[in-house]
Amino acid sequence: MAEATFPLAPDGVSDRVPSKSSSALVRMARFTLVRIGTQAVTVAIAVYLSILLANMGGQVDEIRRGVIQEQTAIFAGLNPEVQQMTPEQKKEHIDKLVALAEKKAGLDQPFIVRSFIYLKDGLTLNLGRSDNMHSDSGSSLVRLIILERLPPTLLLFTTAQMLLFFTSLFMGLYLSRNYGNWIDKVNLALAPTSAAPSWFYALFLILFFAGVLGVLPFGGMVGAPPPSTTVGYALSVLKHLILPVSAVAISAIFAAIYGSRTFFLIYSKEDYVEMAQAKGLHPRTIERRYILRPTLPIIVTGFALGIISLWTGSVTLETIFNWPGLGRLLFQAATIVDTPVIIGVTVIYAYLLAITVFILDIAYALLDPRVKVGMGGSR
Amino acid sequence: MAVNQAQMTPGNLATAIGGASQLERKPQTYWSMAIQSLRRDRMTLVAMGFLVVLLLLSVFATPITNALVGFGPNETFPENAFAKPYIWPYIKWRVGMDMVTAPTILGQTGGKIYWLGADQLGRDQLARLLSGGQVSLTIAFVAAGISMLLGVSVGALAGYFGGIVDDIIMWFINTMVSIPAIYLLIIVSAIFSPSPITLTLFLGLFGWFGTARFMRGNVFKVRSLDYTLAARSVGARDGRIMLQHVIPNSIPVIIVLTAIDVGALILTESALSFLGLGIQPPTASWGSMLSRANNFLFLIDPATGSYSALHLLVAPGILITLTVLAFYLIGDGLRDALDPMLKNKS
Repeated sequence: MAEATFPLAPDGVSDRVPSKSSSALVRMARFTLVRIGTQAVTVAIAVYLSILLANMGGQVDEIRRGVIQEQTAIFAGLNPEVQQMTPEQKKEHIDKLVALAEKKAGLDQPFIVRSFIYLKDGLTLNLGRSDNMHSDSGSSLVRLIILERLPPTLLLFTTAQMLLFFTSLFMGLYLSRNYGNWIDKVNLALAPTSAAPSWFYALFLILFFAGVLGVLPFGGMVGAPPPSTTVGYALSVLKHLILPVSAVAISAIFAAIYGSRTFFLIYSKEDYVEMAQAKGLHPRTIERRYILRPTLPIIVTGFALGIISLWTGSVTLETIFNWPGLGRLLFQAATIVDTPVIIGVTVIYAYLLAITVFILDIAYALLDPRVKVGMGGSR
Repeated sequence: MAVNQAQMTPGNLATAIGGASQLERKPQTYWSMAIQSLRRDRMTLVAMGFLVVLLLLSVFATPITNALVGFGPNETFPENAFAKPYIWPYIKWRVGMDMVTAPTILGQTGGKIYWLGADQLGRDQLARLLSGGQVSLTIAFVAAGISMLLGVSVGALAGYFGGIVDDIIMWFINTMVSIPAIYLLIIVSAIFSPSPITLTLFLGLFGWFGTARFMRGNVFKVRSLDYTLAARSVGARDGRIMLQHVIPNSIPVIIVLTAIDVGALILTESALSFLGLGIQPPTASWGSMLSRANNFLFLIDPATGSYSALHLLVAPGILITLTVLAFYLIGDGLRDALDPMLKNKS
């Protein structure tokens, strides 16, 4: 656009200069497309990497081959026809069966070829069947297993994140107004508690509230047997949510409040805020229009990053609380090397992350007029 | 920039102008200024003191264990399983408040002194905490070293050369961080069941992305400063500018990042060990000790009605928390001391 405002070249090149009339909407659309493209490539490579890792660079295939050989031999051995064959015939027959089974499992192709097939399947969410794991309804389809595990994770960590975000936002605003009062001092003193991870607090919360007091459940998501009524079910889930959410909250909330209070303090010393105060505007108006609005992009970023980090930090917490979520699924799958499930979970995670980042980019462009969308294309 | 400016102190000026020898004092360098400001920061000093004590304890873990415990961290005495910490009854005994409990405990454990109690196999917790600290801290420091080395060099390359090099490196980093490091670590450690050495390598190899990003930003900043331009205009080559200007002027950032990194790595290692994927038994690490304790969390001692394994949970938990906190505080304090400009920005 700099060329448009300063046409250094004579008229001959002016038709190559981007016309000013390309509206914000078009630029926004182009920006969106470019972002989707780069995100898609990123997801593809991340997924391919996890495929290589989860297959140990092809070593898992050897394990699978071994399993197929063993199973085929056992089944063939049970067959009375095979029992009557000579050893050579038997071997030939079994080899034939093994080759068939391997072909069915796609093991006849080299690993490199198959890794790309896996990649295509993974990206199109065609996740296949798991090796050993089952969903609660008994299905071995990875898609169903993951679909069963995704809502609990989303429920737990969205609740925790919402609680954290809004508490820290409003407490931060409040404390920046009442800088140095006793609540501020207490919060400052408690801020170091955030050095310990949530799962560490989880252990003590379980010990105290579930073990000693016996008022809250040890773990899991609903009581056993699950209540039949919808209301009863919701209440049971709510009761099971209290401890994990508190564990996340305790491990982060004081530092988060401290951070947002410091952040708002800095922004409430800007010249334009003083100007507004001098004009005699209502403190609430100042807060809303002069402090919150310019800081909105940063707050939104913090929110999105918080969600991402909570998804990541969920494995240990979910394991401790026996929470049937994605993190625990990955952990279970990894311990028994259930490759399809591992790949499925990483695919879902990569997609969730890409979508979060994408929404963040768009929100940023909409919220912050300084972010020039579609210009230069450096972002 | 700070390095060059710091040489122009009042002392130097006075000598240069008047040569008045009374006014002469030692030139204040950047580092001496940083140490001065650090000296006033009590919180950081306390954290550093704690860390020094911890490091000394870990380095001399074996002699301390020999002196205080008398047997190794992996020696089992099943008859003494879940022995209570001896330290409180001992203090009470010595002060004269309770003359019975301590000798009774000593009798029950057959004369073995479990200062901080024993675990489910009768292994001494103090000995295990010491050797676990050795393991946890070594892993964290070495992994932080690896990730710093990788992060700094890759970040410096990206920031210094910019253009397509930067694009490729940043794109690679963005790809790598789109699967969380803990997922990758869980996958690789479940599949390869690592020894401490490979675990350290994994932690280092999957941990340098943040450092590289930070370093790249800093190098971008340094590259556009006047002294880099000056160096370039007198014909300095890329390598020289990099080693003489860009990296030395990024050292404060590197130090701060590394301090915080070590804390984060201790947490990651203990989370992995807690899940049973990190350090394998019988080697002790703080995370695996927590994990064992968690299995016996609700075990109640029938004689007294109190929880038998509580001390097994509290001790490693508090140690992990305090250590991580110490590293965070040191990182914070160093940032204030090393970059006065950052103080008002953060």
